[in-house]
Amino acid sequence: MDSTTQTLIRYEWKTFVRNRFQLLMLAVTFLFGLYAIYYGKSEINGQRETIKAVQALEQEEFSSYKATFTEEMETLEQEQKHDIASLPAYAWYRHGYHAILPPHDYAALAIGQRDLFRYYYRLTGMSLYYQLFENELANPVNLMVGNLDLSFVLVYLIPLLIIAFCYGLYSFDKENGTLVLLQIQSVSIQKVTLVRLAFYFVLITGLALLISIIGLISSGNPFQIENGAPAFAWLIAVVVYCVFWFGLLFFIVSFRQSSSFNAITAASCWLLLLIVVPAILNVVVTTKYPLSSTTLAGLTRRTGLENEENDEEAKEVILEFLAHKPELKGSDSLFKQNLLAKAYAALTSLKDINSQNLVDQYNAQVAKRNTWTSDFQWLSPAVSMQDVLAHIAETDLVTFMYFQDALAEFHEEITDFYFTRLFWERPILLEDYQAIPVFNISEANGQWTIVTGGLIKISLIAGIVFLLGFINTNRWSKA
Amino acid sequence: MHQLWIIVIKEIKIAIREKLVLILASTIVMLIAVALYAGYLSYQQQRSIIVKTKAEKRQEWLNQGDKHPHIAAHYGTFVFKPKTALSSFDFGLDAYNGTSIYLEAHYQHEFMFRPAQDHSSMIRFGELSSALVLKVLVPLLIIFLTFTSYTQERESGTLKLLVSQGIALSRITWGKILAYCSIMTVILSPFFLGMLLLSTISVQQESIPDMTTRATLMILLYGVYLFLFIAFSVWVSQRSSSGRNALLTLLSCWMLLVILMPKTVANLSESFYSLPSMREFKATIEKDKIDGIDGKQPRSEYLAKLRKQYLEKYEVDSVQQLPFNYEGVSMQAGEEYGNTIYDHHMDKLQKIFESQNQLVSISSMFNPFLSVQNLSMALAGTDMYTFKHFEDVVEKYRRELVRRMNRDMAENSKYGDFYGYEAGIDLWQEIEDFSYRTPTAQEVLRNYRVELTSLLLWMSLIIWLIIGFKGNIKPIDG
Amino acid sequence: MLQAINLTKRFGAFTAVDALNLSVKSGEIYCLLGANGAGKSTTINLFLNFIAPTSGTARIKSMDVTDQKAQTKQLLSYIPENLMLYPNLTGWENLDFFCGLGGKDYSKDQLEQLLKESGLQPDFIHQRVSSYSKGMRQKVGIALALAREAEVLLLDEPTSGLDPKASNEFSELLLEMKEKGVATLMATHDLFRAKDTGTHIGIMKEGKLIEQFTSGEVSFRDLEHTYLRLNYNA
Repeated sequence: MDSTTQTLIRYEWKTFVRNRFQLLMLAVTFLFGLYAIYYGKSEINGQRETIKAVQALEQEEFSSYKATFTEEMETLEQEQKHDIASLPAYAWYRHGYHAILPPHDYAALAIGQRDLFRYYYRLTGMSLYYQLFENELANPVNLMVGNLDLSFVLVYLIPLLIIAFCYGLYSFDKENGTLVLLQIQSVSIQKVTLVRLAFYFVLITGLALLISIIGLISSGNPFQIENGAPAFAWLIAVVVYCVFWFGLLFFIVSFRQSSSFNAITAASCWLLLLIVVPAILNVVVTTKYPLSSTTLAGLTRRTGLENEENDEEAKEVILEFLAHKPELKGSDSLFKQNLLAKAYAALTSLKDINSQNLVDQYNAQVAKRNTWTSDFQWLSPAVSMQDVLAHIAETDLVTFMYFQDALAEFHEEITDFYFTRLFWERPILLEDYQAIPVFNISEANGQWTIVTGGLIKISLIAGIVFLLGFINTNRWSKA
Repeated sequence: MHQLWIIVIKEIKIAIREKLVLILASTIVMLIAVALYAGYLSYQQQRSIIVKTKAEKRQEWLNQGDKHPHIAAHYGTFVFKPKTALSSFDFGLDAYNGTSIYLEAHYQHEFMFRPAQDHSSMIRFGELSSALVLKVLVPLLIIFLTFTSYTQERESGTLKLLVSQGIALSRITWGKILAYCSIMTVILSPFFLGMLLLSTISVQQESIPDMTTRATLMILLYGVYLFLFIAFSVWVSQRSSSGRNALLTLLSCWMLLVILMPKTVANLSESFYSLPSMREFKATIEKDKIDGIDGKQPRSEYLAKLRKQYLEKYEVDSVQQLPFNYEGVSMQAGEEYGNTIYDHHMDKLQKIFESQNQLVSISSMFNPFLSVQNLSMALAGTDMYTFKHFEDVVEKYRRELVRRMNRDMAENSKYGDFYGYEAGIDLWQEIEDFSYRTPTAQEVLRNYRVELTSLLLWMSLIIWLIIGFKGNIKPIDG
Repeated sequence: MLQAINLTKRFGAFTAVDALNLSVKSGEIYCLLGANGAGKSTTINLFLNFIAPTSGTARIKSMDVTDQKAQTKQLLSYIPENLMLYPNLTGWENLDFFCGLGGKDYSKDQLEQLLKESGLQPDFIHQRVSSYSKGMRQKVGIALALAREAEVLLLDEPTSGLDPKASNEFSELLLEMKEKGVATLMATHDLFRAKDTGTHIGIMKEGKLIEQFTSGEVSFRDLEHTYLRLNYNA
């Protein structure tokens, strides 16, 4: 670093320190960052607690079932309980398993859609779609306003800081009249501007990284295997995003307009990238791929046999179902025992089978929307950034669609477990409880391509604006 | 008056010579057009689907064949939230409120399918609506238009010249404000006209009874809001030493009022009043439906008591001897018992929502943006109150449906012979098709007194600032 | 030291400086007189290389200012009509900053000394520039010229708007610089100051240098007369 650069930095620091308004803005942003981390953590901790409570309920349920195998039967209630525990005809729609999508440690930093989607389900052998569409309680007003999480601070507020600190990089000197004194120096104005830009880049990116690191450490151990890559990607994203905004400001400043013009242009860019572009994309995608839940609503209807005393109707339903599930066929006592239970099991499964198509269509439409929007993300690095952060924290739509797929598989495991016993007339034994279905969701792996893709998009745009700015400033010295 | 007029004309001339302003203004007009078109399109799409599905579900209900009324009550029906024409102006909570609900006996279901769930996290940036343009973007345009209104005159020295002509400073200020108001009126006139047209034509089958009143109030609301912004900006420009400072101050205010504060307040409300999880909520209801609220009167005890009452009243020994099917009566009693429990818990939940939203209401005292946001949603019928009203109407409809089924069962079927009785289309037709009308604007606005007061106070404050501060201004100050 | 050879600058159809030839030697103070728009400031700006000449060259120490930007800039210092400094920094800090950019390294005391030499009251050296009067800022400009060890001083109406005392002090400083061998080119409206301080005087009209003399050659009254005659045919 040569002495002119040092002088520039030293005095930029002095000027910065003496500007109370700038210091205040920095402090306010920092405090907002801390609050955002706190808020995100409390939200996600709330979810963790719900998960714990739900798991405890499940534990309690199943241990009470298991207990009936060993304890003495004394009361009627105990016997009923034992029936539920051991007879598939009772158990298949009563035993509830929880499928849980535990939050990633960093979900607290980018809540994304996590407040909007269910992250736990209690599944029984009943129709999957009957159980799938219930919402979590939430205040719609607050959903609309959205979360003040760290991703918000980074995506919305940091660019504002960058604008506030850099819009006058050249124009202040011009308006103050100090420009002429700079021009008679042997150092070029381009260099002066670049050094100052670099100074604020270090300052603001440093702040953004500091808040991020505080967030990353307080929400999870970044040195754990599952957190390492996300933490690293997060920090890279922060740097890349800051580079973009500094590049944009450099480009704006390079036109050598007045500071008011720069401020207006920069604020308009902010508005365009953070409000107008996403708002337009959202409204376009809503109308381009219209979706109406009314088509799915019908699936939640509870249906039954027309007449439970009519054996023929029950048999018909069972046979129809067995055509789909031939492996359950062949029991001698198929129509002799538990006819009603089998009929209902068949009925509810048939419902799933028949509505599969409808749900698939719906999900395909949602996926189409998602592809369409991600195709247009390059229009706004802010949208890309939000998307990248949500994917790092595993709180975006993709994760939840993936969760839904896992739910369907899990539900099949559950029905298999009970239906084989129900249709083959085998009681549930105590040792069977060792082999009850367990929900697991394998690591989604698609997210990293999205994260890298998003980062590349932002970097490219950052590179372009910076290059344009550089070309423009190169003309400066040519008077 | 003449002086004022001269100033107005001069300001307008200067403003329309500014290229940037022209570009921004045309952008705004275009955005509003796009927003209205898209809003209308999605309104049409949703409405046609809903109308179609609603008719289908109605047919399903009517043609469900002969069956026992209680099975029919279980089979139930669906209600879909109607989309209102005004919602194409302000989407409000539409994306975050469920859109359909399943109505059946014994269980209150929640609204399912929040439209925002069908989007990636980008939806949280918000959807483009004319309300968004008017309450978020237009104020920014106003800032860009007005921040130099005084500073430029001061920097170039023309202010001294003006004042030396013997024109009162407050008159200059009013002239400027009036000029900007006229410019904004011109920019926004196509939009306001469209609003009025929309509200008077082609809304026969609408669920909003007083479209014209609402549209007029909406125009008034945004008129006041934008006036506030114009007057405030001019005032700030008057008090600022340079255009740069005025711009920075105004942009900071905008940021604080429009972006930061709404989010912070909503998030704080979430921290202050936390919601139970759905699982917990449902579990307590289920538990209380057996044990009674706080275990005071368990269901079994309640039903036993009822049974005893009936036996005593009709002076018989067993329920079989009653002149009607007691199962229908007890079913209905159980239903009502469950409803009481549900209402109790739902009220508690609603109280939490109300407390949360009240915090936003109170904050609107400090932030006219929040007032306008709430009032605009209220007028568009996409606010919390209207949704709550809709929910209540739906729940009433469900109860009525179940009650009728149970009554029919009591009157016509025999005790213990569940499958022996089947009702038919006559009974199904007795249940009217669900229809919904929103409360009138007047009724809705009654819930937004704080917001209305806030706007009034802000209005007086701004006017006072402009009139009351005239003595303090130093036009000479460079 | 300073040399303009057929220096011409056109802005579109308007010729601001028309084939100007002049030279200022070391130890000379050359005052450019002329009405507004005569091309004085443009000439200064051409030497500063703020604008590029249409034809001809401006030279400092025989170096073309457009070819050897860095070297020529090292040699000169400039004080505009209204010298502006960073208001949030003190006078001393401003000086330190600009010296640092020029690659000059001074100790704290040396800079203070320079400011005192330039006539800035000691109390103000460590006060923020926002509290300075125009004259005080011009003094910091002189200090900067001293600090840069400038061999060439370019001044664009440096005394306009100064009160007589400040203006007088400024002239004293110029004379001191002259003694050190600095070549000064000053655009001014102040005939009296030009006659009093300048060694050479040139009168510009419509971009041309129409009259040149040494200040010893003319009396003040003659100068004024000539100036008015040339400019207004009075």
